[in-house]
Amino acid sequence: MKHIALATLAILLAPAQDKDHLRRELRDTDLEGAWIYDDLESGYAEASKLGKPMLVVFRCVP
Amino acid sequence: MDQFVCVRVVQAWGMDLSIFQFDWRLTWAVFLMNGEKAVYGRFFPRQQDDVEGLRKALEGALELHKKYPANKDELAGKKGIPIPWKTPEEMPAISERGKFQPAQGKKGCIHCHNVQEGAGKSFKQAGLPVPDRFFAPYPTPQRIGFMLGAIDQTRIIDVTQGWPAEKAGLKVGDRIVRFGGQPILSIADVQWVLWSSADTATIKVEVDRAGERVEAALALPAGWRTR
Repeated sequence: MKHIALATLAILLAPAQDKDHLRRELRDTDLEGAWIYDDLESGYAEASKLGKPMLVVFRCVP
Repeated sequence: MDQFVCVRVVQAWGMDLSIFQFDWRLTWAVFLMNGEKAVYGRFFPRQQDDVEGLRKALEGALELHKKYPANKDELAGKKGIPIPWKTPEEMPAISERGKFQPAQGKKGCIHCHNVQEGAGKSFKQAGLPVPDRFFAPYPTPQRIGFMLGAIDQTRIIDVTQGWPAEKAGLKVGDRIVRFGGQPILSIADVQWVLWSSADTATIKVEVDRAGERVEAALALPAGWRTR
């Protein structure tokens, strides 16, 4: 049971880990405060849940 | 900033082109929107006074958000115009290169400028006429004869005599409330209306002139994009 729970957790966390990996690879370290990284679908969901507008910044990392 | 859900996007792979159409040649761009994918406005860098200009646009977006969904209809035109591809990777000029993929790092990343180049080439490859808007410079208000402020980006600070804006009756000091029927937060919003307009069109403009609402009809003459 413990293994199933851990496996489920790993699957749920996978997208966030991918983004962390991407951010490390790009050395993209200049964000301050709470940002959702490269995941618009999470942004839409969070904005709908909180009733807040979204600030979406497109900025390729050279 | 804590009044917004902030999202940073670092690649164009998967970019929803039914929404995210902008000057893809820029180094960065901002969309102000909501969780239902309604767009309140765009903001593009200008090199100077960007922070103050963006702050004013954020304030405007909060006001539009308070009015949502009553203002849903007037925001509809802020989404993208129809183009043949849903995402950049569907564009023939991008897909055929094969080297692009969802970014794992710098390698393989579709950059925004790739979308700009890819769009122009893909129209040709698909045997479609390339619309002028895809190869002309992204239009600034100066192209039709007026300038907006760097911080209060809805305020007209200059009108060129004899050009379309002057002929429409726009005046220095006017604050643009709606342009093409869309609420305006920034110069980028005006640019969007111009970019997405037909090559010959008349744009309805609503301005605040010393507290009074004034309407004007701004005629875009043939060839205005490329002259």
